[in-house]
Amino acid sequence: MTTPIRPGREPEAAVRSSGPSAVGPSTLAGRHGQVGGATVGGASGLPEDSGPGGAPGDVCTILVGPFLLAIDVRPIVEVHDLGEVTPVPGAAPTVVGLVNLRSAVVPVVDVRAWLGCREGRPADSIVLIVRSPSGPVGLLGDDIGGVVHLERPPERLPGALPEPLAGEARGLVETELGLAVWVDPVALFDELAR
Amino acid sequence: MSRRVPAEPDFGATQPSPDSRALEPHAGPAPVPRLEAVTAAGKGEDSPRSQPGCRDQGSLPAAPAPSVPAVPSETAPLCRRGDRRPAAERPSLDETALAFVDECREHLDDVESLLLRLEGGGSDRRGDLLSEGRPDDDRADDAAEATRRGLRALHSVKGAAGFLGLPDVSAALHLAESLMAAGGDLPVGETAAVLLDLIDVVRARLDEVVQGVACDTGPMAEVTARLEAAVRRAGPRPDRPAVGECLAEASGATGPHAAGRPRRRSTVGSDQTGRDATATSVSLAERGEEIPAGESGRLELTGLSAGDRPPARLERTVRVDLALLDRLMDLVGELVLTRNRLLRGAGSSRSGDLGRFDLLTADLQAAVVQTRLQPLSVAFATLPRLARDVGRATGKEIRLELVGGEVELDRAVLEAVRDPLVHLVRNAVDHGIEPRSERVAAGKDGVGVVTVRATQVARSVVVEVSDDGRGVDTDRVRSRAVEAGLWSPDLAAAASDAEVLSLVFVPGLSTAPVLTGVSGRGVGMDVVKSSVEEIGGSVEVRSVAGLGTTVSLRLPLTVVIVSTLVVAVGGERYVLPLGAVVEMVRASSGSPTIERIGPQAFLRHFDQLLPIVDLGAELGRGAVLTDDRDGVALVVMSAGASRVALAVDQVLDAEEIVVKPLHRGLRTTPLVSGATVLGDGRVALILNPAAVASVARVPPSDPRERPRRSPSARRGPRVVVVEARPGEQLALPLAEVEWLERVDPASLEVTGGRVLARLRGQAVPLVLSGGGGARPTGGPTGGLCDVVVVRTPGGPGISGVVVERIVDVTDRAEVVATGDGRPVVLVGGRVAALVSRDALVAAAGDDGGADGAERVPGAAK
Repeated sequence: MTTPIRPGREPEAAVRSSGPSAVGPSTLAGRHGQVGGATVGGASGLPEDSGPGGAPGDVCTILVGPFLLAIDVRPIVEVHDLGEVTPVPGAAPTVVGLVNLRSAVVPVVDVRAWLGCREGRPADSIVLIVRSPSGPVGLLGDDIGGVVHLERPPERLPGALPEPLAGEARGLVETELGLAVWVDPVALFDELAR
Repeated sequence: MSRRVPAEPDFGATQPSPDSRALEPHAGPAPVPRLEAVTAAGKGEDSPRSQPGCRDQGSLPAAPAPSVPAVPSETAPLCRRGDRRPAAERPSLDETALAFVDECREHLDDVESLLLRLEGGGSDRRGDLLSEGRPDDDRADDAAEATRRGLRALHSVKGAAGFLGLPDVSAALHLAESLMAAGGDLPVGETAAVLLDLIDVVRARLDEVVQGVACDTGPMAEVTARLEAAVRRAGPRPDRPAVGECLAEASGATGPHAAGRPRRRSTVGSDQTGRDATATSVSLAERGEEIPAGESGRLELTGLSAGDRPPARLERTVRVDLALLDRLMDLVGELVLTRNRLLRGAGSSRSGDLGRFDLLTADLQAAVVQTRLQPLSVAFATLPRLARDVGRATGKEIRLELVGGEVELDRAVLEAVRDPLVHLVRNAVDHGIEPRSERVAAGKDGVGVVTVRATQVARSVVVEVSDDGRGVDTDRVRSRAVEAGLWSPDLAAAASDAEVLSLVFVPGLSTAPVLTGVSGRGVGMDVVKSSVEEIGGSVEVRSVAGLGTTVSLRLPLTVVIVSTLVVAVGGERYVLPLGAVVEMVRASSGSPTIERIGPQAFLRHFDQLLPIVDLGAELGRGAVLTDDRDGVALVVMSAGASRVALAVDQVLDAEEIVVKPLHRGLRTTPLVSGATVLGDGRVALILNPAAVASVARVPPSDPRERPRRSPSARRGPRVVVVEARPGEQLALPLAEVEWLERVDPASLEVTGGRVLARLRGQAVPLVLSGGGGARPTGGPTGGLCDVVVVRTPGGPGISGVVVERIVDVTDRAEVVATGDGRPVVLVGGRVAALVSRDALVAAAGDDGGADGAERVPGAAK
């Protein structure tokens, strides 16, 4: 089963960003990212690497365990079931394996395992297929949150995101599901596949 | 950027299309209407020019510099017709300009090759260029033609340089033409040297144009000055063709403004590289025209009338973008997989549309594979210059011999082998060949010979780079290995020469000047090895001290669609390149065919002990080779000189696959070289035989325990020895055998008086050999029948000859002549009559085999 996501379409769950949010890293722990707690550390400007061009646009949110990740929709090709996976000997522990996407061999990494959530993976996990310079890659998550249109760029990161998320987070995006951590999917894949 | 593929003859049989006119404004002495069309194409669009060029020359000139001849205002529009994008949105160098650059590079290659040939011709005077110092008229004519070809090529580059907005390049090439065409007393070496330097500078300039970087005009100015001096010194010689004559001929041959025309289509005849120097001369001859020389060796377009128009030529090639070829190959690969899936679903019924679909797919696959093939001469092209330059730099005289340039390889393989060849030739000249004095003292010819020889062997190509130099001093390598801590002194002393030679691939071990003869081979030899193994090839080194070294690269013909053997290990399927599979053996873990030395298991395979690689253990899928296991499937594979046996759970099937590269960022074991999608849609990993073999290469710590091969065994013809009937052995050349099979008589089917076996998806008629020998309980094979599958004599299909027992497959048989002229072979002390396939089938048939269903009662029931 495949769910195509068309970059540039009307957002399904458009949520306006509303300035500095009252949220702390610990509140990311809710599965749907319920907001509450401390204020994001004084975010007023835009992170320089806050996504392609730093410009507002559509992002897709993915639920991974208790975390909500936001990914620019433009490199996303489709969302796919995990299906049959071929394990890769010698690969990093976060590499799930290889899947066949219409005769393309796509490596899939397990974002959940990377975030340390090894238990409780839903049976209907999804693979977000993303274009990368070396071909399509897959990120295994729990579910798709939705597509959000951002009217302003992601907000600056607070200083105390939990590892390993801190290393890959590019900013924060407020959605109706809660604060989502903006990540670059290709960089995330490279990190997990290494 | 693109390659030529032979086109169907009717592609160019008629008038060129309007589009092709737009791209070929100077194709021959064109008639006025054609020029009008070109003019319209060139001027009809907004901002028709985006001239690439040097920024520091007043970048992107609107028109060529006035000093550049023969580039009229209506010359090729740099933007394609119909390209309505604003100039700013167009690429800095459009497709047409890139085609010019490609053409220039090819012409420069031609001239370089010509110069190297003339330079190596043994003549020392420029005046001998045309005759190569020999009185033979034919040879002189050849040389004159070669020189004219060079002039035509230079002229083409000159015009293209003007088109690309490089007036200084045009001017220098004009001088080069003069130097090449003029008679004179300049030594040929000096002429060639300055022209070769010019070619280097022009190539660099073209690279700068393509990359859009600012160019350095200094080298061109320097080489121009040298050219001017050389032209002055050369002066004209009355007995040689004048510059004007040569250029007129050159111009006439390629059209008056061929220099300003990219060769969108070129004629490829016997010259498979697609160089059209010969092709253009042929076209001139075909036209039988005498083109009058213009005042300065060029023709004015205005001087031509419609009557000068050449007859429409048959264009036999087209340029196709490589990305399109790759896409085509991908699509065909998928089609092949779909076909395989359909056939598997249909079982043995391949009649009607499915059969035709099968054949068409196979034909299409072969044709598309063909489009990707390029001759090795493409990779050879840079080697003569390299050998010359390295030879000169090291003060050695070198003769480079290139053999087998016509052998064709997939372009991906060709690309992968380019750099390794350069490494190997450079090393052979630099480190393999001795200085002249040393050679002479050793009784050798003073001129060192480096040979690059390509031959096709079955479904692979072997490229050997050999030199007649000093060879590898294996003792020095041994001591170096001990010094580097790689081997213990005991191990080094016990290592065979082949094992020592394999150390040249260890990075950093063999660095000059530590190793005599092979010094420097370590620099890049590991790269050579990894580059070749990456595409599924293998590398082998042979060397004889004092006589030379040969590095042998075995390359697959193509890397896109390959035949593989699918095996199962730990619940996963893996594929092995079929070309590397020698045979498959089933052995019990406790049987005497498997021996153990410490933890390492060996397969006793005829007179060899082959190390067993447990694929399950290596791939993390659980060991295959366990004591409690009843039987184990072993796949004997060859990788270069080494052979190993891979222990797998099951051998599944042979399958053609499309190779898919693994994502670059994905970390994996070196055993895996790629992936593929199997017929059922599941991804399977492709294993690299060389890497698998290297797992087993590590010698045991105690050399005394190392298995040794029988050094005295003399190789004879490879034969299959069978017991045709009890007590009677026959030997059949292995080359005449398709494969060997062991079948269950219960699975045989009898129809129309024939016994058929379902083997590898085919219904194979069986011929029963030996009077009553083929019993369903088949004695030593535990109820199974041994079958030798051969091509049916005189027919297109295959047949299986049922024998009492397959005894051996060996190349250790000794052929012995007998008094009656019928040869026999001695195998293991027993005699076997050497028979042909036809004789084996006929002998079985005489015994009433083909219709002897009653001899297989188990099957008939």
